[in-house]
Amino acid sequence: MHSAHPSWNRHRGVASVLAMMFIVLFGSLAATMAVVAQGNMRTAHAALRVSRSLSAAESGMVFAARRLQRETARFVVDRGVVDDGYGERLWFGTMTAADGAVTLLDPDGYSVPDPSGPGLMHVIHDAHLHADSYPVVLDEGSVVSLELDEVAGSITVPPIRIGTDEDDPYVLLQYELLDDGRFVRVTSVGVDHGIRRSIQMDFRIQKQIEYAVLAPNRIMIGKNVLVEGPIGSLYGIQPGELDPVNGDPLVLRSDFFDLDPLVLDVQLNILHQQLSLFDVDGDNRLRPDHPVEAEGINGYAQLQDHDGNEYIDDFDLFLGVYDVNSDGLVVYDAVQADAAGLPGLIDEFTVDMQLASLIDKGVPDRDGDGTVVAGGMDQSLGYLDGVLDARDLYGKVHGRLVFSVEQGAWEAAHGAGWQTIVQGPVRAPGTDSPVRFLVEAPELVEVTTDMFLNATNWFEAESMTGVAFGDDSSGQVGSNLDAGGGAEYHEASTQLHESMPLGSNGAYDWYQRPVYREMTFTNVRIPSGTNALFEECTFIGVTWVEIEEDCVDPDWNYAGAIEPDGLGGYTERFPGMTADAGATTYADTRIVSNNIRFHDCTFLGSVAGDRPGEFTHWRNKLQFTGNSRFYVDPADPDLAGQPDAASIQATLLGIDEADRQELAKSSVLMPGWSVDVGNFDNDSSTRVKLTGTIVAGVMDIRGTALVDGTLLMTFRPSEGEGPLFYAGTPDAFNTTIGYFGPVDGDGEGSDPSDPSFPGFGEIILRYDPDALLPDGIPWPVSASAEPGSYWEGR
Amino acid sequence: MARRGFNLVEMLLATAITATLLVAVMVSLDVSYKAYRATTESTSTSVVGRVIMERLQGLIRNGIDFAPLPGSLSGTTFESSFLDIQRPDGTWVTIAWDAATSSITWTEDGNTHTVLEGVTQLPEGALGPVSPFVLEYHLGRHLHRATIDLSVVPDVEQHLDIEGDSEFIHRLVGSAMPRNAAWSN
Repeated sequence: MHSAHPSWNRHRGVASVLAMMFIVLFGSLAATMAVVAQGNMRTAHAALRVSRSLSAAESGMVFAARRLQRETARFVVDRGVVDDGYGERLWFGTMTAADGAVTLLDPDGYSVPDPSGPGLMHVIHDAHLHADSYPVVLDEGSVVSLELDEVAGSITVPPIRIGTDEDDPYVLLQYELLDDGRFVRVTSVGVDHGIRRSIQMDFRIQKQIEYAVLAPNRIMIGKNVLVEGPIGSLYGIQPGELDPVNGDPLVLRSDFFDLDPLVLDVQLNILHQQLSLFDVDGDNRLRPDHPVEAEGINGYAQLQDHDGNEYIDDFDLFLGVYDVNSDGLVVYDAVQADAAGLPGLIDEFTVDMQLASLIDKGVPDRDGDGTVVAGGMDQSLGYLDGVLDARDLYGKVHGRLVFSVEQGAWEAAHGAGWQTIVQGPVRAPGTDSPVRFLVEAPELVEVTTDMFLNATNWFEAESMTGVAFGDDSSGQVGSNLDAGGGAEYHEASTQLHESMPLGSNGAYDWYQRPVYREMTFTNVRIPSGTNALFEECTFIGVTWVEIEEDCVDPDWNYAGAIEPDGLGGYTERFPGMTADAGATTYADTRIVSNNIRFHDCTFLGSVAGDRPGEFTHWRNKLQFTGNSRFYVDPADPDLAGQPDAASIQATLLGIDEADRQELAKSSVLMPGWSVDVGNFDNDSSTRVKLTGTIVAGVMDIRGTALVDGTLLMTFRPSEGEGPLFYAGTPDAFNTTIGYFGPVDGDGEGSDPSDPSFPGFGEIILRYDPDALLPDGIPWPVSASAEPGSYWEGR
Repeated sequence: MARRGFNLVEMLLATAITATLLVAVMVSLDVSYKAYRATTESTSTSVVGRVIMERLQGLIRNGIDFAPLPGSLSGTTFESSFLDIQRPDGTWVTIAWDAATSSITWTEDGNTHTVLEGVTQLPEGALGPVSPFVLEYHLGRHLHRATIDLSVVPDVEQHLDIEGDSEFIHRLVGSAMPRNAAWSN
């Protein structure tokens, strides 16, 4: 249609131009806004995907770590140290006879019908194959399958979706052994819509017994004992073990009893009762701000958080009684406090200086830098500063409590909450639960004496390098006598009979011992039947104690036992009783056993011995009495206070360094033996210092001692077996650390009210995560993250 | 009679209408443009802030040593205007808030550059002022967790009367635990 008026077309043209200009203008602006906004949204979306992919990678790393740790723990090995070569052989499954026994435990929760090989890499591969199920997830459109490269030693795992939705991110894992065969590297790549983020971390294959104490017999830890490490109890799972007459899996005695019977003891009893009713996490502390635990405090004005750490425990009650001026500090050594930068204080606590010192020097590496520096930051954080306060981080146990027993069964047998007998705060590190029950292998493994029977170890070989023990005219004994000095030898027939246990009113046997005095032995093997008293002797290197290992005859303990006849002589306790070892019959088994007492002896090395086939607490027993000293490190700071420090250091430096490292792996390696250790003088300056993995059947440590390593007990007492063949109950054989007095039912314990009471002693059991294990202890290997190796890629 | 054009009244009326429309359009356009700029800058600031936060958190996750340490050894948590981070290769990076220039700076090998501008503190009140770094230590010197709390004002003229003249502040909060510490437990 055409316009009727010619000028109208011109007018419409002008309007059209204007309209188009506006359209272009606004359109361009709108488009620009849309493009920029879209760009921002894409940037935001990309940032979100980066975050999601990184989170997926971290989830993958946690999964891989769990898989690696579970499967590694299936390898139970005799060899003590996983070095470069052994780690590689474990990974590839090329172990040799020289590596000792390697036992692969069954997988947990799945089965492997066709194992791909004997190595750790095979086991991890098989676990991914059989324990996991993988819905097919394409990685950037490609299929990735589970692959084991047996030449390179790497495992590639197909994509694992983090979630159930198709849009959820997924993760790719790879394991590979590094050139240093102790380390496995895990690479985890998280992918979210094309955005990939990778993280990497190394895991170390090693063998560690992560306990300060581990025992299949009941563990009794007394007053003035601090445990810096986990405690593992395997007791209470065999039929009858939980009968009240047989004792409890663990007894922890509060350090603060017997200081103030009228006030503090009463308060402690109230606290322990309330803990058994209201402590929900089992750390033996009540939190005033916790809805349940706070109920345990209501109505008890004396239960207050005096140290301000938001918990109420035994230490708070101690502060409440002895912090006279309510400044949060209990001063026990004002002079030391002044030197530590706390001037003008007055002593407030003098009742038990050993306890005060024990608490003040507990957890010495306060800043966690791996070293303890006198006068440095550790002291600024409360270490040995003459006062007791929150900075001392007091805990009866710095670690978790791990039990095989079921909590309810134990408490039902005991007739009360377990916390009525397990006293003192338990400070578990990080997110660890303070207490766990019903724990099984591989976390809690029972090591028996039988496991050592065929094990070879460095100590036995080293002991054979020395000269024979000899007699008064030959061997090391003869050499000592020939050298003159103060060396003495006295035949057994010239000595008085000694009760067993020493000084006991109810002795079950008597020994007439030969005496070796002021002698020095180097890498010596003490022959069976020596049954000696060594006084003021020095033992260098390995001291190996020989016995007849075939001592399983139930009469072994009793054949040849004697007792006073009332006429000044001794008579057979069990007339006519004999015991057999193979085809040989013995009327007195002591001639092929060894019950030895070391008094005031110095050990510059280790004590080890043959493995008895059965625990025989009379016949095969070591007692360390008097001022017993153990040193293996020439730079040991405890040496400084010794009058003969220079001589000891020179002797230690004379031992090959590699040998010293082996010796440090265990001060006492006596599986199946009864061992009593302690400085019974309670002299804190001459404490017994044991290092490494201390192995015994049962052990008794009293007085002043530092155990820097692990106490590993091997004997599980059972009624009708071994020393309980004829009579008796398992509670007679336990691991006892520290002071127990008459009020605790210990008839041999000294009474604090006695004027001659020597003190409660001072003992620290400190787990050393860096300690190297000796060969011959069957224990699972582990894979531990090396936090410093964490690496985040692109 | 043929019409030759608009008369004066028509012209004046048309001009007035056009002028009014143009003014209205331009005002509208200006408001829209400012709103667009504000939104874009705000979004951009948010995105850039998020990227910076992610970078800082990555530094903390990968760091092996940190400063400052607690002033009181018994104290474990404190606030700071800067954070020193040692990377696994041993080099140190300092992330600091410069109050004078309202910016977050990155210092490495003695060279300092700005990574985020417009960083301020929340005013005194229920929430403020909030320090940019809250450091939680364990055993006197081991960083357990670091929290970064930044209040960022986008760098643009945003005083829009139609929006009540309110200042638009982004609060970026992130927290990270060094993996060194996380995997040590």
